[in-house]
Amino acid sequence: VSATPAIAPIRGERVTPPSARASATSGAAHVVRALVAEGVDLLFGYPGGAILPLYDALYDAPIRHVLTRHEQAAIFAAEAYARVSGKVGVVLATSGPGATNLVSGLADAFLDSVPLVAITGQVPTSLMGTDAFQEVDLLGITMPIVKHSFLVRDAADLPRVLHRAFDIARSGRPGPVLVDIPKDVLLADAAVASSGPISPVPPPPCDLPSLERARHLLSQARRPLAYGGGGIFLGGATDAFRAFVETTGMPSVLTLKGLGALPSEHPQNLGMLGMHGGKAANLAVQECDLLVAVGARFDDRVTGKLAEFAPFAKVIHLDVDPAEMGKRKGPDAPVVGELKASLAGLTKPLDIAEWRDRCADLVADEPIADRRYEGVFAPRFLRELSRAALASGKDAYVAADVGQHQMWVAQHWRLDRPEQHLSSGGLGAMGFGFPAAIGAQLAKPDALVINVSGDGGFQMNLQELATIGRYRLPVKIVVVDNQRLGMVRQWQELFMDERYSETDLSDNPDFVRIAQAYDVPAVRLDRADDEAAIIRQIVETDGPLLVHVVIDPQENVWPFVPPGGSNAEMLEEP
Amino acid sequence: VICSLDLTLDAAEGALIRVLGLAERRGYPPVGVDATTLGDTLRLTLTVRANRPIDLLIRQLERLFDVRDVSLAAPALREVAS
Repeated sequence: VSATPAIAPIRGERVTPPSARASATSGAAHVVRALVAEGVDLLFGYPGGAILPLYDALYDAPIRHVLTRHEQAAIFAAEAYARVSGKVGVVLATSGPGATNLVSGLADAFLDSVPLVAITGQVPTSLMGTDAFQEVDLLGITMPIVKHSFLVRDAADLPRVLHRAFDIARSGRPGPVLVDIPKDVLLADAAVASSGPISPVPPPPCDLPSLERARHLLSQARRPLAYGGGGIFLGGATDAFRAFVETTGMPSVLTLKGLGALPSEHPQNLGMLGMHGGKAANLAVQECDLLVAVGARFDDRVTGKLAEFAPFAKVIHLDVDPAEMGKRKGPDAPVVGELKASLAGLTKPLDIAEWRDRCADLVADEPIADRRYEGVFAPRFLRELSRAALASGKDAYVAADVGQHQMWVAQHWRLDRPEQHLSSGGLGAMGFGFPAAIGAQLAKPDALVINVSGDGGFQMNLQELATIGRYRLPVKIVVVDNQRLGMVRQWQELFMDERYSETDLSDNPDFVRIAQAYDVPAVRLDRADDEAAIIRQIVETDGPLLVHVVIDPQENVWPFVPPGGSNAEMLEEP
Repeated sequence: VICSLDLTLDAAEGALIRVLGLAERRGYPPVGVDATTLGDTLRLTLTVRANRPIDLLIRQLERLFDVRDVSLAAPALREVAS
């Protein structure tokens, strides 16, 4: 006969286990206090075992938690929230698979310099290193794709580490910071006073000799060209860049992440340069004798064959990050420092009327993409949709996914400001666009937020239809459907002898019925004659809407600089 | 060329791996490491095969938050024996 157990369950009766909740001085409580002190009022995440104590502390905290249906969507949404709100994005995930699902987002935030703090649960310290359930070495996995990361082993360190994480994420060149916290550290009590947020220290201004050298080059130049990148917005330097361009009179080209630094219709804006850049922009780069790179990094998709990029130009490189100097192209005048100050130091009128006329001619010669047939021509549709969005007077944002439609958005979408344009630039992560639109809409609940996705990328995160339902978000989803992985198909057509290996998606599901299953109203657009009415519907609908846009599978993105080729040799629409 | 750098790191979790991984990824495979912990710092002499200009690696290392100081060791450079 065995002894009576300490807890003797009676069949059918519920046993209440001892509470596993953390106390008010626990690590989890310190994390929440630090988040509140940082002004975080909204974050994204997905709960799980190792991070349970933090979710318990959040349960009655003055912070809104947005539950996505996949951690990858949570971090993409947090990135967009950061860009649109101007705050640091925050995302939570549990250990193991929750944490590894953040990896694409961390890489995206790293390559596009997005200020982000990711907080992950980790298995208890006693189990770390034992291949425990849901254990992965996230610190090790993510080291190459974070600005910095912390593994916190003492709850007393949490306030200091959290505030440091926010400071690192938003200072200088922004980026993602990971804070990995074992479960026992979240539960442990620690009597520690919060140090409070770290006051931002602006990056040091550039040194005067380098600014002098840049001024000298400007005074000598006859064909100077500004080349603006994502750093302009990130450095809060949009106004300074506009003042620089307008005062010098310099024509300007923009990168994918720099779009909006000048309004699309600005007379000095020659458009996007690079692989899918416009003819005017790429030719101006080839002809200029001075290239002023502003918060840009000479990415391979921008430069094409580097040796033939801006072959006649001296280079002034303005950036807050010293490590960008000479990484790809050695500048004649490196100017390291806060962009606003550097630009202000170079903002003086120049006498370059002849060159301005030349660039105006290049723009005038550029064909406007249009094609008339029964079906929908995506570049025209997107251009007209963006015009209607701007004209509506609403605060309008576009979140692109990745692929052909992303390039059509970049080429044809009308923008007033850089933060209106969300796009996965450096990483090119399919699945980014729809969650990004969710993040943007949460940052600006009254704005008109339009996600433009392809049929491939939309299916990488379409489970988030449930998220817009739960939070009643009026996101507009435009699925540009060519029943193909269109950009890859285009490369196969042009470079792989039309061998279409695994790019056919003609067995796609019915996107209208999928949306309807999530209670999201949906319509199909497959005729050019209906474009105007659908555009009106997108702009005027108050709630969410999915528009399934059927386009020609053969449609390609033009112009196109073949990979590794010179930007002077663009393939154009045949 | 083979190039040696002297570094002082905060003895923080992952600091050494961060430095070695960055060097490897950016095109400077480590060929020699000599590290000693002194209190809360780690003194490190890192020898790498430099396939690119060494100043680019130095600036990348200076971006790491655990790195307090980076300098060329003396003698810093030698040609690879063929």
